[in-house]
Amino acid sequence: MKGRYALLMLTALGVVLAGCGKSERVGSFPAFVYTSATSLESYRLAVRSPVFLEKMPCYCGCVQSANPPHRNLKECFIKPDGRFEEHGATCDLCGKIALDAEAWRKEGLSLKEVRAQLDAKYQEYGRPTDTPPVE
Amino acid sequence: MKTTLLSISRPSKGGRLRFYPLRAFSYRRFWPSIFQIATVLGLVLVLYFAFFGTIRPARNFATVVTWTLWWPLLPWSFLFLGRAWCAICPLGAIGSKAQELGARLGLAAGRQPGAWLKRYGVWLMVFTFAALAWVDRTFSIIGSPRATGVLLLILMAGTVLMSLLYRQRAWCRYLCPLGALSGIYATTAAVELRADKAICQTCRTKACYASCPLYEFPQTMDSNRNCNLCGNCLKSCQRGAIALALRPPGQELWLFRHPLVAESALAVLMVALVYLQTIDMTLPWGDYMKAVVENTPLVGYNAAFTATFGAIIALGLGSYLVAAWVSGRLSGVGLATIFARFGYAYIPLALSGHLGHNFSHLLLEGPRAIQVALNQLGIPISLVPEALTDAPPDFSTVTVLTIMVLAIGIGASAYVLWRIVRREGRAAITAWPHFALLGFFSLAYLVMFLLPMNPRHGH
Repeated sequence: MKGRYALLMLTALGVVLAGCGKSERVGSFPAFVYTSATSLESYRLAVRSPVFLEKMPCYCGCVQSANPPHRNLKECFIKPDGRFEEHGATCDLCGKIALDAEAWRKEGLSLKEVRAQLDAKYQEYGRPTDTPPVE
Repeated sequence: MKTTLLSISRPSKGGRLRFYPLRAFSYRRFWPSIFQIATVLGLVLVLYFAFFGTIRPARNFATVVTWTLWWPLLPWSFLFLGRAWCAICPLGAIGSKAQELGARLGLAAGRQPGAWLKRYGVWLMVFTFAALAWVDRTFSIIGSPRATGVLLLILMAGTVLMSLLYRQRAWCRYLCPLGALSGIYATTAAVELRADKAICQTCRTKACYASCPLYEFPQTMDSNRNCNLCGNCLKSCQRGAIALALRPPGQELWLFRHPLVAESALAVLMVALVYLQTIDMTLPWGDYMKAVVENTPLVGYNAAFTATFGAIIALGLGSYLVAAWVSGRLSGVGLATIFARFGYAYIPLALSGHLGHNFSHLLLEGPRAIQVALNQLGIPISLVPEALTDAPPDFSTVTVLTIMVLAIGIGASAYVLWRIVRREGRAAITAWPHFALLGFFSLAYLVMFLLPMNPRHGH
């Protein structure tokens, strides 16, 4: 019986730990955003810090495949007219880049350093968006 | 008297099987060792690319071979060859070598699995499999070559540790998450390895038992659950009492004598897990998660997913418990007995759902995965034009195939239910709660597989 209780406790612990993320409710999003943790968190980030993502490039190929071509990482989540862009929810790379950038910024890196880190990590994916360098 | 499709279950002179392909793979010395060498080499390559290859999961040998090719193909192997994968599993092979080396160096304890492990081993496998499914979805292991490598190393460490602590393959029998899956799916296999009990009763050496890596005793074995078809017993038996036979797939589901509560629970759990892992790929999933995140205290996606994960498993197991209870009341049989017996009937449904789920991976992503894997090994081959990678996938063929496989699974599950009732001489009314539950599960699967899928672009 002890073994079964131990398994139950472990399961309960998992549920509690999973709920202990640093997520916060930031507005309401279209349903397509709620397809993965990365998607939801990156859209929340885009709403919270649009200027920050505007200075970061995306490497997923949206500079060629999106219509019109994306100019920066923010446009993977929010269109220039302010509406939500679906691309960031269906692409598994944009969210990763955004959350990496945010993690480095929280570590205390400057915008320039964050940009350099992104370039170093993701340049193998191909051509980035034509995002002006960070001054 | 059970029937076999091909009369190769009775050994001919010298214990040799007459059906050449099976004989070749059961008696030959190269089985399973030559395949183990191949899979170990494959694992080395996977680990190399996992840690030193590109971080792009759709372009990394490790992730495409592991998650787009091997993982979706694996359930098919259970259907045709039972747990044969476990015989050639590189982790098991590495564990066995570690055990040999440990014995030489005096590091291997060589214990027999204790009573606790024997009693709760299946429950541990149930738990580790469910936990692995949760970890995968929560931390997106399949989307990360590095995480894939770490997972494989953790599993390898577990195998080696258990091999040093216990004799034979205690990890594979009692702890491996995949062992849980392969064990219950192997019950549906079209092959079985069984002994002629009349001959076994005259045997004094019982060499087959000593040689079995999964602690099975062929004389009493009536299920594929713990047989990896390694052929050790065939090779060690001097009397030719053991043979490999073809049979109607899944025959043992209503024939074997020792059903376990934990395995029945695992079968129903698999129904729930396959549902979970497919429903979150559909378009309406976003609407559901939006409702949960915006209207409950579960603000984070992972918290909402974890609650849903627990709820669907609880709903699956809870509804099965209710069906077993009603069935028990109708037949006057104890709950534990009914619970243990009827759960196996849901295995064909779970397997068909699993196979259907994997059609999308295999057919839509498989050609590209093969191309990527070969290109990474320096073999230039072009199966898929680059431009197709960004085109929306065509789900219609996949959906038709999925529904066909699912229909077979539903029919097979219903048939197994009916055979269990007949076999045990119970009143037909005993099975009705399970037929009702099977209908509910089947409907849920059918609706789910007909839902539009969420298009995702891999990189």
